Amino acid sequence: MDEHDKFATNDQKQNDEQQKCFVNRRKILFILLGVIAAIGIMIGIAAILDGVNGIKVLGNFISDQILGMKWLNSLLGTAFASMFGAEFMATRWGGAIQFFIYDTIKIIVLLCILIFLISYIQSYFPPERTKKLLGKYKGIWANTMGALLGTVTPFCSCSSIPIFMGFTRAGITSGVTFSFLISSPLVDLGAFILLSSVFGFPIAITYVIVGLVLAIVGGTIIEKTGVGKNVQDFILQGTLADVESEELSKKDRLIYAKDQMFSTLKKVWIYILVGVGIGAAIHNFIPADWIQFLLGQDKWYSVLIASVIGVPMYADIFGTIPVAEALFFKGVGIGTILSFMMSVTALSLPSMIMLSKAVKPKLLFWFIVIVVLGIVAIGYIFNALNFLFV
Amino acid sequence: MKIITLGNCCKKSKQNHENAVIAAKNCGVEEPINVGDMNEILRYGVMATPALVIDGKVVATGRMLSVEQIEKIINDHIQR
Repeated sequence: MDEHDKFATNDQKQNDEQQKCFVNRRKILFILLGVIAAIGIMIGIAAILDGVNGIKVLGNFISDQILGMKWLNSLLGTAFASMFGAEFMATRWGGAIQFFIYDTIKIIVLLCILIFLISYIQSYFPPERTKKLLGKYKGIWANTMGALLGTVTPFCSCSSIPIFMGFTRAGITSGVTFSFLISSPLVDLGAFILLSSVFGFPIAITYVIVGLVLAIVGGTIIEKTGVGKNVQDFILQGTLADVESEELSKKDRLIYAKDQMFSTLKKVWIYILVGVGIGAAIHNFIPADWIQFLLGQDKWYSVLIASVIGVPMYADIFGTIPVAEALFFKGVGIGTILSFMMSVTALSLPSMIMLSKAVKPKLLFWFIVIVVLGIVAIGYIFNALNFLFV
Repeated sequence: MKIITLGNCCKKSKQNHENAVIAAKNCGVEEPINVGDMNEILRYGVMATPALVIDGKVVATGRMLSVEQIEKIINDHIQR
């Protein structure tokens, strides 16, 4: 009888938990719908006031003033002009200092807010759950899901091997794993928001779509050609337990997001300063002619140079954007800039070294070749379509 | 009670283990063991370190826990 009672209470407890989970999910759904409705109403009002032009003005306002903080730039300009005099601000040094301070503040503020939000979302997609989700899909859909989940699963070069091992042992195909590995460093919400703040929404959306396509196609090629089988033997030997993903409380998620924010900031601030420094130098000191000569739109070799320079460089997307921004204003083609950013973020020496422990040289070689070719192709396609964006 | 911390490749995992040691001491339970071997870690089904295992059950993955958080987990576990 006692036994029976115990089972009954257990059942009830489970029911309660299920209900709680259901209510929580509902709440999230409502918040999501609310946000979508708010965005819809904003676009609607803009459209009623001024038609298509209204939507454009709204988009520009969001990307320039809210995300791009152009107001901060004008504020800094005025403040510096009154402190050092307008003549100094008109010189190269004045311009460089203003660009440096404005860009550093902008990127660090955006980075803190973004990493916090992103980490909060990421806490819903630990690799263990991603692995389970991926196991449900087949063929090209699995690659697509791999690329998409790559954008929301927390990832650092330190975790690439366990993820690689875990995926492989769970029976996820090499193509899907590589789709995941390509899109992970390349595309995320942070890159999207930061790109919209610098270049506006059309280019940011394009970057995300192109990045995902590269991940999907790259993964598929690696699988279909059979080079994906060349993994180190130890990857396949051994077992993998299925772990129930823990249900985190809101407080746990907030703590996780805060930790991620500080540790990321600690890790990347130096890249941001260096990136902004290079950006400021390009912006004010390097003559436009030189840049035009190397990377100008009419030069067929510009994409190749940008990709080759970018591959060995190691920086995350936040350090790359100020450089891209400065190049953009010097009239470098959008395809060349995309190639540069993608080659810097997608391939780096440290992640190659980590990966070389998990896969055989043949697979590593083809992985690099496919990604580089993909990036170069993207560069040429976008330079050809440049007129659509500028 | 057997507490295991998984991962020792990066700062976060090391910090996680230190926090677990302090928390275990405060709660008066056995000192945690640290496991860094990839194969061992994967045996628990964990793919992101740091992670915490209590009596063979994975209680946290992919995030560093503070001393207070670990103490709470240990106490919850004792009550059960």
